[in-house]
Amino acid sequence: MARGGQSRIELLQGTLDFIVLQTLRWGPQHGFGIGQMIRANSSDALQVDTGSLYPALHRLERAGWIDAKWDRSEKGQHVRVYRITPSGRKRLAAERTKWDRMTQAIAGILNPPRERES
Amino acid sequence: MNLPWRSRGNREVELDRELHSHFEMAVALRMERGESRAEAERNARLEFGNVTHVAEVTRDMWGGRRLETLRRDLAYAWRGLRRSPTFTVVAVLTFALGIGATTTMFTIVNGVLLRPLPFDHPEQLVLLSHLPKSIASSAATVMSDGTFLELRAANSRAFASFASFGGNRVTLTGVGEPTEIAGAMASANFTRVLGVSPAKGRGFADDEESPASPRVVILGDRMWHDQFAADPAVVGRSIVLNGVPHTVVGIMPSDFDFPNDAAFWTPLSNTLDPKLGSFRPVAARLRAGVTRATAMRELEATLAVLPGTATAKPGTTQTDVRPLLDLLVARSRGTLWLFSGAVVLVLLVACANVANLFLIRVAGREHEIGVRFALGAARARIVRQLLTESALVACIGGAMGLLFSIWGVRAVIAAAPPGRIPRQDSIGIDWRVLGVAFGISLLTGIACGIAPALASTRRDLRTILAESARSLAGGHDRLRRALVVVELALAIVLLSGAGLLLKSFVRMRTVDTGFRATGVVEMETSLSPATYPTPQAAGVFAMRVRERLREIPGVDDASVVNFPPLVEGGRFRDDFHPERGLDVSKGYTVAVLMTAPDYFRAMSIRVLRGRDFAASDNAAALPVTIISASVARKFWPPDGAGAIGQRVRKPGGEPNDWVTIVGIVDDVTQTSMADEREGAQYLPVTQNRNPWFARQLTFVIRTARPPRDVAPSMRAVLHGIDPSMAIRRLAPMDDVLSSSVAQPRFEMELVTIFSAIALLLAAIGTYGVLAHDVASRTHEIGLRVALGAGRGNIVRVIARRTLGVVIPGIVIGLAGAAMSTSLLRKSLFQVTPTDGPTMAWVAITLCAVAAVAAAAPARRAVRVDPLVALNRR
Repeated sequence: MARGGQSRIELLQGTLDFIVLQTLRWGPQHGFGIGQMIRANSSDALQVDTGSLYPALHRLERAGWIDAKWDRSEKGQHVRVYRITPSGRKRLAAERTKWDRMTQAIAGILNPPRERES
Repeated sequence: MNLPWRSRGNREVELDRELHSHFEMAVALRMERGESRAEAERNARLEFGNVTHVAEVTRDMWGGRRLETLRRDLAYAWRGLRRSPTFTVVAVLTFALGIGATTTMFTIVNGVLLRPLPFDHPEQLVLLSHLPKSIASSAATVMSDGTFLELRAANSRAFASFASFGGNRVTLTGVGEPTEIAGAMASANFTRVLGVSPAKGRGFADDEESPASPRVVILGDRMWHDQFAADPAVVGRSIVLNGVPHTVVGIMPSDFDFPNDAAFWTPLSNTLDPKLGSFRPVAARLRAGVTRATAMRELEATLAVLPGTATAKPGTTQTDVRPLLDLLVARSRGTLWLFSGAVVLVLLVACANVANLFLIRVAGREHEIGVRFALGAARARIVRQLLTESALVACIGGAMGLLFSIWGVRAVIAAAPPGRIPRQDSIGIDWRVLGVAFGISLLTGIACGIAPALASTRRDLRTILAESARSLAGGHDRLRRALVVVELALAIVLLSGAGLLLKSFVRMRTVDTGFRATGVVEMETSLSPATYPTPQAAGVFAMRVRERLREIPGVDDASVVNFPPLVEGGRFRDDFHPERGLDVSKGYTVAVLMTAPDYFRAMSIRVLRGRDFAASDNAAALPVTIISASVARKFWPPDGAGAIGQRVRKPGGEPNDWVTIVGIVDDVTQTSMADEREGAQYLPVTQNRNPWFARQLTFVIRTARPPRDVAPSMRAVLHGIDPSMAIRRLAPMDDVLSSSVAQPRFEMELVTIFSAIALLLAAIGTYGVLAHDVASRTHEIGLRVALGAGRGNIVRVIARRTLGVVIPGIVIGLAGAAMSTSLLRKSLFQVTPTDGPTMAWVAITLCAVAAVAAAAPARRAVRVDPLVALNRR
């Protein structure tokens, strides 16, 4: 769901899961942090709204690809911190391969031998 | 304030805290960037979006989600219902009524028709019949003794074994007062064929079927308890049945009841005579894996070669293989399905009514629903919640209905004429009844909720929030009126059925039977062949009792007959053979009855010509007979006067046994009120020489005194002459008359009750629509009054609205009735299924009820004060 932003990209179903797993590879993080990281790493192009992020986190947790525990943030707040699990890493690798193949395929379609129209 | 996720389990709290910390962090970040606290919070909230929605969609990801949603939906529905107790009570009661009535009928249908017989592999048990087409009817499933014996002796691949059954009423003596007991005769192997074993003792041995073997009897559990105080020592003892000692060899278990209400069983021996040509039900057990169709083919093939049946012309006989259960339930099946149909209509009316209530309810809640939409709830979610609410109401109603049905089943059984609801022991609540009750509740709940739920969520958000509830209420108006039309139409169908049954019942009650029952008391006895071996002895006994009965103070006339009118049982019928007269060649069958002097006086049957029998018509005198009017007219036209003095062949006698006609009496109704009065021939008991004709005797007296004052003297007279004689029945003839119409009355009463319920519900529905109409159009009415509309105008508006549902209801209802009342044909007497006057009355009744339903809303409408109405908004 894109909310008014000019250059935000609506995420495909399943893509968010992949991005979340990818983000957590950098280390455990809480929901807000994950949202911020996705935004930062995509140069503000991807803004994940909470209504998509939290369902994704809870879905991944249920699938066993991430786990969560309560911790304190650097500001002393109670936060729920997510961490990628070994099976999550396997899943990520598989998704990654799939993703690479798909982007190649789409690129092939979008960039035919002929010059791109303006 | 009850936030959806607060204080509900750890997980909910955690989710709350998690989202809260997210929000806090977002605010903190914004403040770091220099926004003020208020600004930061506002922006963070905008960015965050709808908390309720986020929490809801996140919860959707949890495992065990469905149950959790259901629990929450139920809790939500429960709170909603508690907020509107009137609606809840009315809806629950309506459901309870509809589901209760349905469950009641289903419990009975289940016990009687659906539960298998409590025998070993009941699906292998079948009922065979083979009859000449001329006497076959759908109710008769019997076979002649001769055919049975041949079939049993033949080799069969389809049938493993056969057993034949017959009724057997006997007099038990030596245990208290002589008692008449109805039992059964059965082939010696019947316990083995059915796959049951006696609770005590043994079954019959095959050789006990032989007339030469010592007499034996197996007792039923009920007779064992009632007559022998459940004394186990009775096995092996001798009891006296019809004056003959029988050894008790066994006692059947309490759940064994076959054929219906048999109190004991004796081997079917003395009467199993191929030449006698009795017809009896025959049960057979199919070999494992044999279907009824296969069995049918084999039976037909076998019958085609058996000596007794091979001679029948092809196409003149009718062979059938049916489930054995048919023997017990064939008579009640039609009635039970009739009731089931009626009850389903009641349920539909109840559903339409509750659907209407829900429509009114959601109309009042559009705003609430709109707000939930605005808060981000999905349409499916809201629809599901509304359906949960209606299903919850239906299930509460269903649970009440189930309790109500326990009482209902008892009431229906109590109201049923004796023997019309068989297998009563197997009627009860079982898993199937529970399943059906729950299923119906859920189904009707969803059916009633679906239309309102869809209708109320279809409108788009902005309209709902912008418009007022008043204008919206009209949105479902058409749907609600359609529901009322459906209710009225269904009520019409039921009312038509009830009306037709009522009319035919009245017709039956007022039919001219040819006799007058009031003042007649009947005393029925049966004479055991051991005590009265000859017809002469029976005749002497009958005349002695008659003489003594006449001496009772207050008795005007006393006489005797072998088969009084309207008593079911084997009447004798024989061809009527005059010596001279018309139509001799054609077979013409009349009822043959044995009577004594004064019978016609006692029964108030008119003697049209000639004379009654007299005491002087004894064995030494000229053999005489009296015939009824239709017989006389048939053979001695035009008025039958020529019959007097003519000779006819004596029924059951030799070809040159003649009797002389001395009198002509009125025709009377013989077996059933539903039959035409039929021709009869009467013979004096004093000249009887046939041992079968005077086995059963019913003494009749006419008295002006109350029957219960005379009855003890009648009993005393009989026992004064023969102390060992059992009295089968001692009752006023009015009782016989009412029990002969008990079945139509039962059908009529129950269908009337059902249609009354349906009518009441339809009236409530009509009232609901009109009342809501008036309430939601108060403003408009106020305006009309302000502009000068008189009371008449307002009433006309309401009347138009009423007719707008009543007329389509009547039209559709009558069309539906015309299509469905032909199902009643079997239960109707001298009334066609599309009887015009009945339909007219039904329509008038409905209009009247609708007028009553419209009265209160109309009164409210004319009282609308334009000032108040117009100032309200």
